[in-house]
Amino acid sequence: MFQHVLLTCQNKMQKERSISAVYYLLQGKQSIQTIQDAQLFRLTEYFGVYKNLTKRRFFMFVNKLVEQKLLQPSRNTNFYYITDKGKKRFAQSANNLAYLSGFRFRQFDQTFFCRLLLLIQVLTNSKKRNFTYIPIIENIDIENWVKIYYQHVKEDIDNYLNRLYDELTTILKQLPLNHPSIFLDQITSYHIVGLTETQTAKKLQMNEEDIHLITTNVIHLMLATIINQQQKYPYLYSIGKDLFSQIILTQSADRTRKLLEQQFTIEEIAQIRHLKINTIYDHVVEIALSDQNFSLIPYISEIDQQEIIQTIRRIKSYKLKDIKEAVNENISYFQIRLVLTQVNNFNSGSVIDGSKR
Amino acid sequence: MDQNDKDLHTYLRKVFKHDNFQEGQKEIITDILKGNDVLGILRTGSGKSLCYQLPAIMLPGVTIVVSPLISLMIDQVRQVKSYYYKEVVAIHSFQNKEERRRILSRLSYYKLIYVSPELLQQEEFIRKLQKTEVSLVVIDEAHCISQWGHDFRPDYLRLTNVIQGLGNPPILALTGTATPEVQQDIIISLDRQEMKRHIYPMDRENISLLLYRVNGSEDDKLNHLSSLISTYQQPTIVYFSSRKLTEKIASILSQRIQDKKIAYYHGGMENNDRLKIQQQFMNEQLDVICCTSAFGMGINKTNIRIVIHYHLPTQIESYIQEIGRAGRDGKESLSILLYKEGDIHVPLQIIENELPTNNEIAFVMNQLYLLYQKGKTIIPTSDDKLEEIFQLPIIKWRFLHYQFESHGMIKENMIQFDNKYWQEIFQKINRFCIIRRNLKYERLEELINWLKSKDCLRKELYKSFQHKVPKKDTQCCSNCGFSFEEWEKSLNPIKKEKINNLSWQHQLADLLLIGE
Repeated sequence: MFQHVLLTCQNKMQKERSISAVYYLLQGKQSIQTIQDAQLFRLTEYFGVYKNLTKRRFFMFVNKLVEQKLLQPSRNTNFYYITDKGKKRFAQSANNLAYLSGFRFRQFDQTFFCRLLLLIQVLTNSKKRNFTYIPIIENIDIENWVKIYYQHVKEDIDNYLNRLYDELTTILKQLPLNHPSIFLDQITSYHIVGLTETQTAKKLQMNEEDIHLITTNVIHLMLATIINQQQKYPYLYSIGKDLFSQIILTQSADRTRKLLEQQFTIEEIAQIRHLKINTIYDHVVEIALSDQNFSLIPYISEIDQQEIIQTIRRIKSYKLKDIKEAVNENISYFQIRLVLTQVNNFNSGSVIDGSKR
Repeated sequence: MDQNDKDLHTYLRKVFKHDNFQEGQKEIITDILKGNDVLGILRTGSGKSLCYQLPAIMLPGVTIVVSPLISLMIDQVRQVKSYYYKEVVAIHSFQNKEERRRILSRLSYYKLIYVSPELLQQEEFIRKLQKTEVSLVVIDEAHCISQWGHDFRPDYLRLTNVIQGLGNPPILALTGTATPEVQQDIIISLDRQEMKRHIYPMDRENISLLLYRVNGSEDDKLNHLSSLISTYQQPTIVYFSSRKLTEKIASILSQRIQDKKIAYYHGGMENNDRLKIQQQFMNEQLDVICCTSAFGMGINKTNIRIVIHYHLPTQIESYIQEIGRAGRDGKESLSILLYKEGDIHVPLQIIENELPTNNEIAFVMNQLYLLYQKGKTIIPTSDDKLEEIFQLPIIKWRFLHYQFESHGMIKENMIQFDNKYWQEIFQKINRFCIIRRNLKYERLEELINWLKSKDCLRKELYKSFQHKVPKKDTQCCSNCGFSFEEWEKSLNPIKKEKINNLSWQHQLADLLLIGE
C-alpha cells in the first residue's frame, strides 16, 4: 500500500521533482512549494497522511524499491525513475485506501484521533469506577479538551458508549475486511492497552507503513462521514466540532490575510510586519490555495491570467521556470504561482472539498 | 503511636494507598518534617520518592526536586498526577517558553515541582522562587554532585549557591548508590555538616545473582537467551547496550518464541509508543521487554521476576540499579548476566563514544570560529543542523555546549570569540575529558574484576557500599550455588491469556461496552 502510494506520487511528479518532494508531501510539510505540488500534481489526498514519517524510514523504503528494481536513481542525485517492472507492478496493484483526504483534513485529523483515543480510555475507566490510570495520550491540549468534554458526558457514560459503539460500527462497516481490526487493535480501553503501529504490523506480518496508512484511511473515512452527515453521527461529530470550522492557514499567513482584508497593499504589509515582500507573496499564494473564492484580480489582470493558462497548455509543463520563459516578460513569478493555484482547481473540480477519485 | 505518627499514616493510607512504610521511609520523613537536612541512601525499588512526595503535601510551601533525567521527571510527574495528587509539575528544557511561562505564573499552586539542574540556575526561575515559600529542596540522584560518583554532573556543583539564594531551606539528598567517599563528598559539597544520615543496605536478599559465561560465539549467547526466555513464563526485562540491537534481538526472539509476547523499548521511540509499551507491560499484556537503560526508571511494576543483561554494563552502580527492578514485591527473583569472552568491547565502545575526543573538540571549536567569522554568531538549535555542522552525535554536542557556556565562550547561544582565551578553554575541556574517561575505565575495571571473582558474587558486588553483606542462605549466587528447579518451586504460575480471534464487531463491543 505504502509502496503503491509512493509510486503513485513518484509517477505523477517524476520528471519535475526530486524524490524528497514525495517525502515532504506525505509528511505534510507546511511550505508553499509542497502545498502547491499537492495541488498541481493532483496528489492532495496524500498530503500529510504520514506526519511522523522520518527521512530515514522513507529513504530506507526507497532503497528497497531500488533493490527490487522498481525504481531507478537517475544521474541527477535524488531524482528517480519508475522502471518498466515498476510500472507493471504499479498497474497491477491497488491501494485499498479510497478514503484518504490528506489535504482536506491535514490540520486536525491527528487531533481528532488523539481525542477519540483518550476519550475512550477515560470513559471506559470511569464506567468501571477506576479513576487512577495513566493517560495514553500525553498532550496538554488534548488532555484539557477531554477534561472539559468529560464534564458534559459523565452523567450518562453507559448511553454515551452505546451510541459511540453504534456510530463506529456503521462507519467501520464500509471498510475493507481487515481494516476495522487494524484500527481497533490500537485502541486503549479499561482492561486493555492498545498496540503501537509497530506491534500491529508485527502481529499481522505487514509493513508498519501500511498499518499507518490504513489507520489514517479509517480516520479520514470517519471524518468525511461525520462532517457530511452530522445529524446521523452526533456523538462522533461533537468530538471534533470545534476543529471542523477552522480556516486553515499558517499563523503568519493568517495575520497577512487579516491585513489584506483591511485593504493594506502587499508592500504596506511587508513594512508593517517587517517581513520581506517575497514572504508576503508566499502568504498570498497560501491564502489563494486555501480559499477558492479568493480573487486574483488585484494582483493580475484577467488577460494575463489567460495568457498563463494558455501557455501551460501549450508547453505542457508546470515548472515555474518554463512558464516564466514562455510568457510575456512583464508577468512575475508571483503572478504565475497565483494562477497555478487556480489552474488546478479548474482541472480537478473542487480540490478543497476532497472529493474522491 | 504519637500524633505525628498518626498523621503520617493517615496520609500514607489516604493518598498513597499503602498500609505500611517500607524500610527507612518513616525515619527519613520524620527528620524532614522536623526541619533537618537529610542524606538518604536507599536501594532502588525501596520507595525513595515517597520520602519527599509525602512530606511535600504536609509542608506549608513548595518542595523542589532537582532531578538529572528529564524522562525520569516526566514519568514521576505522570505517576503522582495519575495516582496521588494533582499539584505537581515538571519544568525542563523540552518545554517551550509558553508552557514554562504558564507554569511559572502559578508556582505557588504546586506542592511538588521537579526541575532539571540547568533550569534551576536560570535567573527568572530563581526570582520567581524567591517570592514563593520553599519548604524543602530535594536533590535526587545526589551522587551526581560528586566527582567520584559514577555519574558526575558539573551543573550539580552549582546547586549549593542556588539553594543559598533561596534562603537556605532544608535539603534532602537522595541516592540509590553511594560509597562512603561519595557520601562524604555530597555533604561537603552541599556544605551541610549536620546532615542526618540515613543509610540502608543496598543488598536485595530476594534477588539471586547469576553469572552465565557463554563459551562460543555471539549466536551461542543468543541461543542461551532464547532458551531462558522460552522456558520461564514470568515478567522479564532484558537490557541491551544499543537501540539497534534491542530492536534486532527483540525481533529475532519473537520469531523464535511464538508463545511469548515480546516488545522492545528505547529512548528513540515516539513518546506515545513508549507509553503504550510501559502500560502493556504493567497490564500483563507483555511477557518480555527488550530495552536499553532508558526503560525501568519510572516503572512501578512489582512482579518482575527476571532481569537479564545481554551486554555488560559500564559500571557496577548501573548494574545494581538495573537489577533492582526485579522482585520489588519481595519474592524470589533472578538477575542473570550473560557474558562472553571479548564482550568488554561493548562497554569500552560506549565509554569512548560518551565524551568527545581531542580531535572532535578541536573540530567543533574551529567550526564555531568559522561561523563567527562569517558573522553567524547565533548557533543553530535544530539537531539535524547541529549534527551537520559539527559532525558529532548530538549527545556530545550537548556536553560541549555546556562546557563552552560554563567557560563563557557561548552566551545565550551567541559565540563570544577571544583567540587566546579559546586556546586555554580547549586545553581545559580536553583535560577534563581525559580525566573523566580514565575514571570510567577504572569503573569498568571494577566490574570486570567482579566478573572474575571466585568468591560470593553478592559480597563482592556490594562490598564497597556496605560493611556487612549477609550471605543469602539459599540460592545466593552462581558462585555459592543456585538451582533453577528450586527457584521454579517458588513461582506462582502465571496464567496464559488465550488468544481469541474476535470479529471486529465483537472486538469493538469488548472495548466500548465492557461488561455488558
